[in-house]
Amino acid sequence: MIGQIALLIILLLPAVAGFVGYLIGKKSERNRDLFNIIITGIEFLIVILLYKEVSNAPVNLFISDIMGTGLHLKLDIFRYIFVWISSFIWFLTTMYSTQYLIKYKNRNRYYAFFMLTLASTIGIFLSENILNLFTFFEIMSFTSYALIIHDEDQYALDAGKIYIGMAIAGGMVLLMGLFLLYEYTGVLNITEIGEKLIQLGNIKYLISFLIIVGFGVKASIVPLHVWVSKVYPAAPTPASAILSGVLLKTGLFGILITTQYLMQGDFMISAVILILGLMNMFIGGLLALFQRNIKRILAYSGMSQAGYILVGIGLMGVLKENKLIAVYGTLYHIINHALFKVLLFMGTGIIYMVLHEVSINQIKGFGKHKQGLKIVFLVGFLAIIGMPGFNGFISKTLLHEALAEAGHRYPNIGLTIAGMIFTISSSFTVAYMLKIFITVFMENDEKYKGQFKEPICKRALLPMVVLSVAVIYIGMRPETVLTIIDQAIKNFGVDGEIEIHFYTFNNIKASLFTIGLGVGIYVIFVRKYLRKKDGNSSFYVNPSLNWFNLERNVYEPSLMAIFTSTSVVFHVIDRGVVNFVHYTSNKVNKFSGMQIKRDSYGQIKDSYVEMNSLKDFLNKLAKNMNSLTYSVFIVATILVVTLVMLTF
Amino acid sequence: MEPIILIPIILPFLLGIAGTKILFKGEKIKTFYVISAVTINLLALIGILNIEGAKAFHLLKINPFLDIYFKIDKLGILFALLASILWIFTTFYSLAYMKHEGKEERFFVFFILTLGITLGIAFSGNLFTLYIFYELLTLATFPLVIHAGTKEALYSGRKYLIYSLGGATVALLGMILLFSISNSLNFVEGGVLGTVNIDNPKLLLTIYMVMFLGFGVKAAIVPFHSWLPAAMVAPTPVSSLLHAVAVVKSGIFVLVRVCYFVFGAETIRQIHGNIYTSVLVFITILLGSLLALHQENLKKRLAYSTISQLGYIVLGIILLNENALIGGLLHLVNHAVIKITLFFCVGAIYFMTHKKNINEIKGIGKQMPVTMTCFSIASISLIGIPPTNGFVSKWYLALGGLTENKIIFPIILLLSAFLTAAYLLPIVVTAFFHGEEKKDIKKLDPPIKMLVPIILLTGITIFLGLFPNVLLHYIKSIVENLV
Repeated sequence: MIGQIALLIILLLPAVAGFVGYLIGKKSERNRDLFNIIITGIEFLIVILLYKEVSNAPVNLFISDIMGTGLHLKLDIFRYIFVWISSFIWFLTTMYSTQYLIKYKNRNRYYAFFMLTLASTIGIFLSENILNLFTFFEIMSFTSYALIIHDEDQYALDAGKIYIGMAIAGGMVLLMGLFLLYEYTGVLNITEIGEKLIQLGNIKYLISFLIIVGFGVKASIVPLHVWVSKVYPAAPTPASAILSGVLLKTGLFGILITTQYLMQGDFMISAVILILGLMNMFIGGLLALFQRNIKRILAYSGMSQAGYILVGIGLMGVLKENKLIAVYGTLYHIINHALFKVLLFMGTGIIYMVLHEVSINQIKGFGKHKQGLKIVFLVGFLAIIGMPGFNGFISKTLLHEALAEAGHRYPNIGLTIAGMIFTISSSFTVAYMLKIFITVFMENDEKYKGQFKEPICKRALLPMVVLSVAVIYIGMRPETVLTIIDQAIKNFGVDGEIEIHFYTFNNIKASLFTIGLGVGIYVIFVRKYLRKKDGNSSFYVNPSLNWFNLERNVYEPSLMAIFTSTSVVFHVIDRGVVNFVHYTSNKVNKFSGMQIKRDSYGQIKDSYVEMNSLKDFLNKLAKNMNSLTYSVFIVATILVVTLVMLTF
Repeated sequence: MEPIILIPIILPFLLGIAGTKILFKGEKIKTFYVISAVTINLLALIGILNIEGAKAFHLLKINPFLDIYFKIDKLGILFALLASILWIFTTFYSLAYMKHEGKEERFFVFFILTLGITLGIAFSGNLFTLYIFYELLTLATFPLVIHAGTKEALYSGRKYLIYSLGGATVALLGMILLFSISNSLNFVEGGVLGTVNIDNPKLLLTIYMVMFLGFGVKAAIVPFHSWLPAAMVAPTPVSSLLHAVAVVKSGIFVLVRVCYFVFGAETIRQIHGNIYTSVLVFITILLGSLLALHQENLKKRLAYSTISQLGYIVLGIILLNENALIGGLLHLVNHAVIKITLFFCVGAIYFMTHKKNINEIKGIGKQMPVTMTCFSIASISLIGIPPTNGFVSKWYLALGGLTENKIIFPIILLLSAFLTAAYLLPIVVTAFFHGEEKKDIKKLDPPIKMLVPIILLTGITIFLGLFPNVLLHYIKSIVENLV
């Protein structure tokens, strides 16, 4: 009972707080900031306290009549991981936001939507009814839109347009999937759909495809990733952090639900997800190499990291009953990515707060003498590249093991290539992170020395320190997280625990090899090819700007073509009847205007007027009536004609 | 006791005519009179619905065809209550809005009259009675459409008359032909043709198409839709109530009567009437949404949006299965609530700032936060995003389409929903997020009489989205006897 109430509280508290905070903010900004921090803190606290209850048994809550189908919430350990990470990240980001946004406008609106987004995100992870999940998913799209366009400049508005457009289009595709799903299975509860769906024929692939496309927009799956590179740089940094840290996970959560619950780990779908994951990994990593805006690098990096998680999800299905290790790897990486990516975004935000610039050509050498920032950024850097001792190492090792396992079970060339892509993508990660780190924190630029002492408030640094500690802690002691995941694996229909020693010679060697390869790519490719000398100074170029671009070369022209052509057709239909009537009536008028004997007619008419005024009056009346009755008559005639045509 | 059911229909007539004297007696009297007129009528309506006993009454019966017959059934009640309740909202809104339009007295006389006629349509017991009220509706709303008295208004009014009267005439032809087959035009659940042997399906199909197109004119079915955007010259309360609710919904209501109470779902299936009509409905839905994108004028944009949304409802009607009809009737109610809210908001903008185009309303969300927030919620609902009422009806419509095993229906719905987003969200975005920063923003939210209806209607939008079950069960109870 307490668990159920707590469930409702963690869902509603942020939503209500959003409105209350808005009202408080009208009076006092300080109080509102404090209020929001406290609320997210309470939220996080409740989530922590819920752990005991949830680890005993899943908490279920059903309220009938809401939205016709009822609101069905469920919290088991698997969902708990997502809820926990969301509330944790939100708590830290709220704290960070209060500092970051000091010079921004419309703060009140920002916080209201920030809290609403939290509520909807929690709602997504809690929903057991897939229709509820969809509802929260759509709410999240809209509320996060308000965060993204916060700057209200043209760039942000354009980015927002792409974001909301793709979100709605994705939502519609998802909804189409749900229509079919409900039509064919008649149930909406996620755990019940699977049994029914699996009995269907090929339609189930269509259904799961549509659902995955819907979630894939948020998860930035190739080729639905075009919004990523626009939206992340446009949004205020805390919003980007949330986008990458948590909202990305909602999409992945949806895909995980679809493949594992709805499709019961179907091999085909999982293989497709695996391939998509590899593509994401590789393309995201490659594009990140070229970028010069740190936020855009991190955006593509998020896409690449989503690829790792997708690979994990795909492997779950591919490995079937041996999926244990893939489950561990996926869930672990979801947690890890949230931690280190938010940390990196926060670091970038600090730079932006001081300089209002995040292009590495401009901010070169900014961090050389800022030791605190340098250290936390270094932690994030080492974590994301999977350096032993940091959390990224654990999950990447797990995922790599899973991939190796798959290669072991299905020895074929595809999985060998997959393994290579995995390694290369990981080394891309090393290379683009090195690009940021060396340019910003290692190079020397006199103009950034000794100034900017304007202290960054502790409140902005504290969340970063907390994240850094978390990153190192679960890197050094992976068993803390693994014990939690232990309980979640039974949700995936497998049992057992994994016995894995992370810090073995082989694992470390593999990791160091990847890092070495990454350094090589950095030195050979990034330094030599992307860096141009201009006198004493050097700068990076981005040749990929001129490459084939999905958005510019495919989506936009085809959409425009469809739009224009259909518009023309419909305009013709729209004006059709009216124009036709006008045309015929003009013709008829012309015809009726013809006079056989002009002169005599005129004479008669003239005398007519003089002689008989009553008749004239009637005549006038008839004339006035004419225009009206005439048109009625014409419309009726047309209808009769269509009628006759229909009959015969 | 039977004639008592005429009260809600006749009362507005009497009050309207009496209004020609009373309304001129001063501001306060006018306000009081108009508000009490619509409220009393709603109360009378509710009172009658609560009376036990016979709910049918022959006013005048010359022969089986010329028979003025009233009957109260569940569908009629739904429509009557919807109209009466929205009428009250509009009354409050118009009392404030019409001040700047002038000639309020004339407006309110016809405004009250129209209520009676709409209720007459709701409670008609046979097609002939329905036809009479249908024609009366055109005539009574004509003065409202041409209220401004400008050349453009007169032109649009004429267009409106021609389309409506023309359509009704064609429908009359269908009625006469049908009567020759069935010998009865009384509304019977399941259709009067149930017992008649269909020996000439082609003739029957012709009759069906004629009636569908004839009555479809008021439901703005393409290609007979262009009176609707033209009629947007009318004052906003008229546009909102008459062209998003009373007139167009009367058209829809008549189509429901024709399809399910005269022909019957089975018969239409046999004569394949639904196939021909569905093509028109496809075009209607897409044309409305797509052309709405091209409109700069806010009211015109909403007018095209109405065309598309009416297409949804008609789609629900012609799919001839339970889910679809539930969706259609739900959308009849939901669209009424949503569209009236949108119109009220646009009217409020015009009332306060005299702006009516999209490019003029940059940053207006900061001046009129409440109005534009309501507009945003209503827009989201019209797109069909949960948890608002627009989603519920879309859900049933799509399921209805799938029940017919035609995946194209939900695809069209979703495509149109996306276009809906494309033409409504820019308004919201322009209003809230464009425009330069101003330090002290003058608050321009409209007077309380306009604002309260907007807020309440938005509340209803969300309420019906979160708790659709009461309405849903009622509509289900209507539908289960029909399909």
